[in-house]
Amino acid sequence: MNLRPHLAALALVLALTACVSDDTDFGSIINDISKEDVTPIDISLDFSALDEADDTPITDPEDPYYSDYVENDTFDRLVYIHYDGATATLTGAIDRVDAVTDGAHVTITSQSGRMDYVVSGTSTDGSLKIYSDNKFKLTLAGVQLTNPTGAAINDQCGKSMYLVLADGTTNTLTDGATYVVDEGEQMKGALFSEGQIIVSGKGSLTVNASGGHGIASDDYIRFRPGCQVHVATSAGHGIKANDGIFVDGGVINVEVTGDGFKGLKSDRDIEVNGGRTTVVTSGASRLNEEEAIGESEGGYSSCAGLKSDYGIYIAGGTVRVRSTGEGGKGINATTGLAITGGNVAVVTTGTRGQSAPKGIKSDTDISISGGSIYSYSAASTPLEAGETLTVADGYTTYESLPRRVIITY
Amino acid sequence: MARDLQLTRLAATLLLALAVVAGPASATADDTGLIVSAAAEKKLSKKASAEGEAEVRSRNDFRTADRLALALSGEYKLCAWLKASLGYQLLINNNSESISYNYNADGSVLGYNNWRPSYWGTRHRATAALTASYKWQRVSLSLREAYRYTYRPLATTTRYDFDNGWWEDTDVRSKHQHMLRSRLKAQWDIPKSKFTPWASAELFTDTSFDKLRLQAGVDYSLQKKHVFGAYYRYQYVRSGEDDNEPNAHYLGLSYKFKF
Repeated sequence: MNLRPHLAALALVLALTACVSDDTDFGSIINDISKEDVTPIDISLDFSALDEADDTPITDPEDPYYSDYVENDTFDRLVYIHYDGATATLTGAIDRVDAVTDGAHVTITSQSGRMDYVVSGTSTDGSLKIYSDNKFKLTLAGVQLTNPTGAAINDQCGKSMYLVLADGTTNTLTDGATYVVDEGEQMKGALFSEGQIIVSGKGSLTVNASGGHGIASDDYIRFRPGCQVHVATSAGHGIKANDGIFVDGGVINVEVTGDGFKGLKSDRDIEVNGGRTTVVTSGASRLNEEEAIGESEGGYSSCAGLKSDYGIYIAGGTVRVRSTGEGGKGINATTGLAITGGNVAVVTTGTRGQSAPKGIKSDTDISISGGSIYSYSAASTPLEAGETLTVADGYTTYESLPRRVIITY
Repeated sequence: MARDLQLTRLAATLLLALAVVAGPASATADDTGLIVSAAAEKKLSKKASAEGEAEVRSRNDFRTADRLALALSGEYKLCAWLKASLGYQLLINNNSESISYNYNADGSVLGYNNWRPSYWGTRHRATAALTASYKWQRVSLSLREAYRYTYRPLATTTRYDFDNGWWEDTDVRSKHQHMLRSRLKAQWDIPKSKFTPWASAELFTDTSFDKLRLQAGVDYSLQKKHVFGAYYRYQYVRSGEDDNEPNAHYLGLSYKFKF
């Protein structure tokens, strides 16, 4: 009797049958514990027109945001700055300012109020730098400006900059891969402001950044209905603000390709009340080190569509995020996330490495009470609250799968 | 030949008996599984040899893959009765599910808390051993004392939170484990037979007695190059510190190529 064939056959049969899971079947408790892949929805940049309600300025002077409306102030001292290749020409109320030009690099110093700088023309080696004691209006009236050694527009005024995209105009700002920064100053992005940036108007703005953030403010940034903004960055966040980002409207598209950078990044709250914000990130996690652009958190930092070191509040509009890099997240809040309206869609398809590519995440609470939420993560949790997740009653759909969550009101 | 035929029948009977033993075991809390291994041993000199081995193991009454192990080891004969060995093992484990519960004040179960489904993870294991041998008539006795170190890297997996009704990431922390293994083995040399029956008892100890492993089997040698083995293993787990293993009956099948 030869045992070998019998033993081999026995081993083969037993080995082949050892493919059954011994996990407990929780099917009766968990709605759907299937880990089968679900096909995520497609999210990509969307430049199509958006039908928005009229942008009505606040008229109550007591309202804390009253002064964010350019209509509530007077800017009747116009200085026209026209770029043409290696030169820039200034006309208008130039007696109100000190203007220095070096080729097409323009530096304006002003103690006057009511200033409106109207910028147009094209230069591949030019910039605009503004020192001002007063808030001012900056009208982009068809400008294509590239600064190979820094920010295309550098606002050193700590007060509001009303950035108005003139109706129907197309504007492009591009920085250089390396910045030459004047001592004692900061220059954090292709469009940088020490003060608030309030974007309005029905023109379009494209910002291409390879040396820093796209649009950066050491204060807050507000987008008003009607504006069309496209930011593409490879070495910084798309839109970065220290004191908050408020999206009241507009069509905002952000592409971030660098490792560890975010589409919208704020050290304080991010609020979305309208418009359509689309963010696509493709970078992987990045080991934080001292950076010239002023951020050092230590440890690994992953990409995210929206990232706030405080809270994120979505009350209206559309927010769509796709992150494809290792650990790339969708929406990432620190002190809380509340969704009371709007349409939120997040797809993260990256792998889990130094970071987990979570869809929607808060280190603390998440509260959902309105709107619609779609979140998909190919390799992590689609919706995760560090403390409490509250989904208010009244939803019409609440589907929670290991890789996808859909909640609709 | 007649003796070998008898032994062959005996071995077949033994396997049948093991299957019978394993069958009822599934009806109790003890698990049942299969271990299949293949190894190649290279004799480097009169005193030294090296070995590579691959092993697969099942659990859950043979129905669930439990682990895959790849091992490399070297052995050196220090003197006629004492040899030393060093080895490394890469373990790819199908870690069993983990369920935690919420409790009432009186200690009764209120409901489920978290459920982490089974997941695959790696471990690295190193072993250093000394084996002393003594031959008494036809019986060879050996005592092996081994130190085993196992490192389980941190793994991030998912679990279901029953309180919140969602899936969340969870980290299974890295772990270093130190274990002492003491094995006493007896082997019978049957004259003019290709079969070698054997039996062993092995004690696993970390900070206290962890696990007892009892084994009995028979090896069949073909042309001195090929060794086929079949054995029965019963392990009694006291503390469960070692891989959260349950008490289990195993049927083992092995093959070794010597050259």
